[in-house]
Amino acid sequence: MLIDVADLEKSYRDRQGTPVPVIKGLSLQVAPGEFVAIRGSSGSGKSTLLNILGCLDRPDNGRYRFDGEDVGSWPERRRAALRNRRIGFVFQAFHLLPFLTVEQNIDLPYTYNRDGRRPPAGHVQELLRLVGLEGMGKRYPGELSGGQEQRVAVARALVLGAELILADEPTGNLDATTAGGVIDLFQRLVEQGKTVLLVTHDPAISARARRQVVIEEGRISSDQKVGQA
Amino acid sequence: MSAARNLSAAVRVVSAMPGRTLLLMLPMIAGTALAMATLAIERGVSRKADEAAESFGLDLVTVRSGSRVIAGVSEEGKMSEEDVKALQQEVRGYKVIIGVRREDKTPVSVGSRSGVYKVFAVTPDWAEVRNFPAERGKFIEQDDLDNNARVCLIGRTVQRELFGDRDPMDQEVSINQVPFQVKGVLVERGASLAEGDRDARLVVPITTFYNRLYKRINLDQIVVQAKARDPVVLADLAKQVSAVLRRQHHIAEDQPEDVTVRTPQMIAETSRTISWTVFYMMLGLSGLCGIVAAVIIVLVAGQAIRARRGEIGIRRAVGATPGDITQQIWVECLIVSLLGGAIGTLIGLGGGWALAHWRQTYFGFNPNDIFHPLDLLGPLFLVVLGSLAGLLPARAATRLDPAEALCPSS
Repeated sequence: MLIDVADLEKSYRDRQGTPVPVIKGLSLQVAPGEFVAIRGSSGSGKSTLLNILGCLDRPDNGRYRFDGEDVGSWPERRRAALRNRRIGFVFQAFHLLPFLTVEQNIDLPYTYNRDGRRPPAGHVQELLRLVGLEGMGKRYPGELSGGQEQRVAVARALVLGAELILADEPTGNLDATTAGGVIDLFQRLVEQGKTVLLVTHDPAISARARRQVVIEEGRISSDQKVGQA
Repeated sequence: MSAARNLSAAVRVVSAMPGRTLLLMLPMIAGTALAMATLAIERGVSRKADEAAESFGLDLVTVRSGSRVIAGVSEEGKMSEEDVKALQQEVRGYKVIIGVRREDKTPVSVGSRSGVYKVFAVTPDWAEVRNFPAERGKFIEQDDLDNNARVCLIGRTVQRELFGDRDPMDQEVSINQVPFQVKGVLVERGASLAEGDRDARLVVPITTFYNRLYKRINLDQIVVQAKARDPVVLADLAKQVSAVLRRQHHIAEDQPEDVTVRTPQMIAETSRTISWTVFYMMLGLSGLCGIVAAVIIVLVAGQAIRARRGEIGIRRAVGATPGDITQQIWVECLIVSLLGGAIGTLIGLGGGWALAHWRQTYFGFNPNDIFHPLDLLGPLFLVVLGSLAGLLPARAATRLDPAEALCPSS
């Protein structure tokens, strides 16, 4: 299994300091090459789950194994290296740095690569081609449409060859046509062997994944594998 | 390795936001510029003051008539040859003590050319004591004193103004309508803050001055040469001289002195065109700019951290550790401080140079005055202050929860 979580629990404190449970004993296994949509209403805990899977947050209880390793107990430095090399993130708000060009934004993970790797010649251009933004490398995010910005974010997630792509509402800020284009891109990545976990509350987007997981009140209420739409 | 990548990330941020960078740099620029200019000015002023003291002689205690000296002109002479004799007998630690008479505005002419100059009535020792020997010819000798000889030595300004290109040696010059023969030309000494043009003077035997020029019994100045240049020795000498003259002039303990006794240190202090108070105020102001710079860095960079939550979150998501973020934000503040410090230093040096040029008399234009390596301690202190201030926003950035920072609602 690429992802293996068991009995995961996570709670946050409200303004009064009272713990509010968000994830309540959740277990989930994801094999390499799966395309999983995680659906649920607002506050159901789907984004929190994604943050834990992406090593941006730690569970209060439970076990998290990534590719067989107990990453839940790793020190921050090691978890940062894991995020850098093996996990790619795509967010609803794109989170591109406005003062960097498209190429520099895609290149960003290399800044924090502790192996001292540099992108091979033409690698960024290749990624730009893959996401359909050929020739736009010198532009700044402010000069792009929302769909184009999200494609840059996908290219950034892939630049160091991440096996797992975690996408949190990646189509939330896009119109239906553009959103469809981004999901097509994810499907192509899955075909190339990547694992994609996509959080959405949009059933139409969710329907494009091969496995649909529904979270309700911090627990998995449904987990179905479906044929490709 | 990690420092290099965080440096490159910081450089990108700093260069991408010139407006914010300039805002952060301004107080640092002002502080360092002020510090550098102040130090340069102070050095020029101090050098001029030291030169003024040196022009009198660093081993001399000078006594002038009157309790105060206004614009270099003392009150009417009250000291006598008896005072000189009493000092010679009672003071310990001196090398030579001489009395001097002088007339500051004496008409002097050569043929159709004339001018008003200072005339010093001296003894042969004066040349050595005041370090003012003859460059050409001979200085006043004992024979000249004994014979009331009408001989004089002239300064270079007098030579230039009254003789032009002609050789003045053995020529006749009229001092207050009395003919004198030029027996020498004094060395050139230039101008000083304390004495003005030191070459606009003539020197005559002290006896001739009394018998042929001005019937003045009192001395205008007594000069005491110490055996050493040590300020402690000179201060002690000044004390002894004051005590003897008080007694000679029958001045009670609670009465002010009727003479002014000055050491080179006192001359330097009174010749300063900018007081120490102003100097320390300017340095204090520069320090204040440093504090303002630190506060601005904390506030603006701190505010920027809140605005940059998304950037910090995404950096964490793609592999930055909290240490990387601290380092990057701190390096950004360091770059701003260093850049501001460097620009301020250059502006300060330029300002010091311009002031030195513009007000030569006050600050003394000398390239060596403008910069001294130790001055860099001033800007360095401000830069360190600014970069320490940068630690606060850097630590705040570290505490940012990446999951929360990347949340769409944040």
